[in-house]
Amino acid sequence: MKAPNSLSSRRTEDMSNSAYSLLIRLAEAETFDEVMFINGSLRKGWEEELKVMVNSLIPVNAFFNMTIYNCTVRDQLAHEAVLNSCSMSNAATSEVFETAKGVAGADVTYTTRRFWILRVHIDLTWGE
Amino acid sequence: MALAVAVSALVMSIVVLAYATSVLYGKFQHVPFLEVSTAIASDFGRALTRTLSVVTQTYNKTSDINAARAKANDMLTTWILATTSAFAGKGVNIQPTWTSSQIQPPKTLYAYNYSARSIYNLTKLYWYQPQSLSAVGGSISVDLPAEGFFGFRKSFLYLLNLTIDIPSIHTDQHAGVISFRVQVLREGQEPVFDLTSSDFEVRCFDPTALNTVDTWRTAAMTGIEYEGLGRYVLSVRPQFRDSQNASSFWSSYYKYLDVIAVDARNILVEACSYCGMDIEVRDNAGIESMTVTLSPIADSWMDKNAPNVNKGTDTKLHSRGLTDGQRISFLKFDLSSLGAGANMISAKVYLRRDGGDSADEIADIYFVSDDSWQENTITWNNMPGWSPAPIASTTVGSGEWYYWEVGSAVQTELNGDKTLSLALMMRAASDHKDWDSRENELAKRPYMIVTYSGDPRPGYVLEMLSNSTTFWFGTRIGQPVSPPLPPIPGKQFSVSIQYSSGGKLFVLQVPAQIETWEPAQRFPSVAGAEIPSRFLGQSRLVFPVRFPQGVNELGAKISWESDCDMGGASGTLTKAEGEPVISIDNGYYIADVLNTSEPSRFQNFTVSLQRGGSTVRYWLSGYDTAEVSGVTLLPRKVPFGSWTALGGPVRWLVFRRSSSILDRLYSNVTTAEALHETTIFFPLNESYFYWQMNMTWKGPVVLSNKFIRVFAVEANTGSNFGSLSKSNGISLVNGSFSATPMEHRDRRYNLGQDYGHWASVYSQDIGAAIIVPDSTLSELHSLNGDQLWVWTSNSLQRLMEYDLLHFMSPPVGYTTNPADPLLARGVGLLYEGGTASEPYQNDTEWRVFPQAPAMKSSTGVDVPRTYNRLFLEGSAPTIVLVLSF
Repeated sequence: MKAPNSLSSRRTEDMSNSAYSLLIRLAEAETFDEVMFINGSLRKGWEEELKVMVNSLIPVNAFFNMTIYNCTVRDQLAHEAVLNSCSMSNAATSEVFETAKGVAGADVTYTTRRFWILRVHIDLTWGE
Repeated sequence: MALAVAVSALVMSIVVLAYATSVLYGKFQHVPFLEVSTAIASDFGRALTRTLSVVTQTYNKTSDINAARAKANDMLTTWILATTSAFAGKGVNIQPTWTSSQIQPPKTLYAYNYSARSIYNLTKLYWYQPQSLSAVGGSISVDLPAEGFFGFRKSFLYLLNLTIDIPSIHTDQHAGVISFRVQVLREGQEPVFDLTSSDFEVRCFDPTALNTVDTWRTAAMTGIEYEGLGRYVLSVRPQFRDSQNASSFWSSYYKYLDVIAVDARNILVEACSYCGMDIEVRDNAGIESMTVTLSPIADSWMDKNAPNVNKGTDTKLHSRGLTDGQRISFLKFDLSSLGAGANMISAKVYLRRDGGDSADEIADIYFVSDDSWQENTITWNNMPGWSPAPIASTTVGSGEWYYWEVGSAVQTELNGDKTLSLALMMRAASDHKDWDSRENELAKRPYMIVTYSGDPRPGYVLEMLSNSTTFWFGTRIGQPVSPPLPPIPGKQFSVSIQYSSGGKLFVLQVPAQIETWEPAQRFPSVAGAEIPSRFLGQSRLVFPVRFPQGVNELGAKISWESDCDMGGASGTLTKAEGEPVISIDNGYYIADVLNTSEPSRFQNFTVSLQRGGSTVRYWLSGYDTAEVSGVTLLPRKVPFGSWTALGGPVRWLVFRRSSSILDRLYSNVTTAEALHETTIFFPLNESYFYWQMNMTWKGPVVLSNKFIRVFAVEANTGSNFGSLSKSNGISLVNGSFSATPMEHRDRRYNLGQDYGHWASVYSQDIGAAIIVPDSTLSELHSLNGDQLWVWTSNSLQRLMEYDLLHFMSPPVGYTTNPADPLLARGVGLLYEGGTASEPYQNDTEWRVFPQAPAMKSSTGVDVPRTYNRLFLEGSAPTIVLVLSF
């Protein structure tokens, strides 16, 4: 039997709180509107800008991977489509998350000024 | 060995402990209930602000609050579905509700009392007053049932509040700017501190505008200064069409502002620097009462010495005391022609003495409550009883006519079966007087003159433009003075009438409607059925004003609702269609406007009014004559084309602009002769309609006979007619239609016979007047040959009309002048009709067409002839005071 790593669990919990805090803070500052959109349309290169911003807000040994979905409703059914056309992550490869001891995920919704409804998902992990 | 066991036990215990810890931890593994709920709630709040932005921006463009709110509800429904789906993995249950609470208590600000303001139904806009606000409110509850997490709830209220500091509005005419202070706050009384000049729009009234859409213009922002606490001082330069002639702006109009503010959330709010205006309207028509003359419908006398003999056909009535055998006379009057709700002022019964004693003797009139007696069966033995005391007495000597005042008895019967019976007796036993009965010559017959008030006299329909210019029946009654009507959605306007009577104050809400007219304000716009999003230069605020009896001045309060869900004026007009007629029910009559597309010789009316089983047909204008198969087509040509009919709670407009002229001779249409614009107005619940026409000749049009009809009314068989004398405006000139075809009667102005603004045809059942104002009479006089004409055609059509006529045989042609359009206005008015008992005195004042046979005998006329004063320019109402508040 493999003993559970309580330290990892605690760190995962902390990371989860951090992830939510980060996303909520970004939402309340209307960062997604400011960075992603111009004149109601998606700005060119917004992914890189947002990536840089998030990177500056997380601990130095943390890794993140963010995906933003646009939620639409048709015939009373919700549909999601990925908005970012490239990866928004500070990890070199996805292997960082696959082999991590713990990964915390968080989701928030963000309603833009033009009433796009975004789901912002972030995964956070820490490096050794 | 023991140590190994002990170490193993220790390790095992640690393992067990760790495992237990892990299991325990697994059972309390972190699910961020609070973070998820907080994130959802936070975005709900964000969605609400976006929603309020969309609602305010949409409403600002469309003035349709229901559509704006429906859009908001759709947006939030989408948000719920999308958010629920986004958190599907966590099984969230989201339930929003809309806030319902008071957001601003009643208050007084700058002497204006604001009602409490509440929010409900998601969003409320309270605009167009010096303090205005836009608000949205809702609560969200979030449950995660799978995790056993329930009861998270958060409420939100967002608003933007704009206040114009009215005392701070001042001008610098030299610099051409006005400046004023505003305060902008958001929810929680929090100052909005980050606005710039581009976040404000200020509109000022342009008194030099020409009633196009630009009566209110956006001023140029010249400066903005933030003073703290959400207070800004704005400086703006108003824009004018003609700056050189805008002095009235600096003296009067500068204080009327319309201000829009938009915050960083894109939420918009609009405020006006004033809330309404009070105007005082004076009635100058002076119609206080009506006077009608009634003939008895039965009379007879009874002889005590011949108790079973009926005297109903006698040409005399007798009253005699007991001494020589008592004789008593009875008379009966039908009061049903008096208006409903009539209040007596006076009722005098007149009898002509024709025999008996010459000494002064008292003759008494008694009230008879039983009206069942009949003229041809009543006798001394079967006559009903009378009141214990006389109701009127007169000393009768040797003179001719005597009267008794019986107003109280008339009032009693007006409130009863509307039949009045009276008994006439001599007081003294030896007294004796003889009288003429209704079977005698016309000039000798008894009659009763009734003067009463309370008959619902016609009311005015006032029309107010953006610059407050006010019209009644084409006459300007209010000058363009401040304040103007603000550029807000017309539906927000509300009108109430206020007057004092009998020591009491009456305040009545009246209907109002918004009409759209063409920029020249001469013709309605066919776009008038659309909801005008803003009240601007082409708009008219239309509302009724009716003066109660005894009231010559009243106040009209024009205000605008702050609650954008409310509105007094109807901004949407209903369209009516129909072929061959457009039918309109105005509550008093049913009007049929001929709307056929089939040209026909037999088109023989423009407007037909039906009331109470009677029909009256009116012709509007036409021209030229023709003979076909022995029938005179009069007129030969009439304006033709389809009408547009738009109606609201105040009136219907039926209008057309066309070049089509129906030639009845050939039953075809020409478009080469004239362009005509005609508007007919049917006010609701009024006994009249009015119309105006502008006919421009496209070139010289040759008429075979100089005949131009301005306005005509048809009479039914057995009708009589009458007209006011223009010179004194009092005396009636009356006559009756003949049963003989082709008989003409006329009163020609250029032959020294005056005729007045009012003329009518009437019978027992119905009366129909045609009224023309000064302008139309002057137009007629200027064209020479005008007259008031009555005619029985060879098809026995009976017509009365105002026209130009110069029939010659053979005909003498007439060529119209293209530089001289025909401008005509008229009124058709229905009344209850009457029997006309006033002795007919002036038949000879009607000029008899040479070929016509001698006029038959005729009766007089009983009409509400004073009503023509309502429509004359000289007695139009006036606006005596205008104040904003």
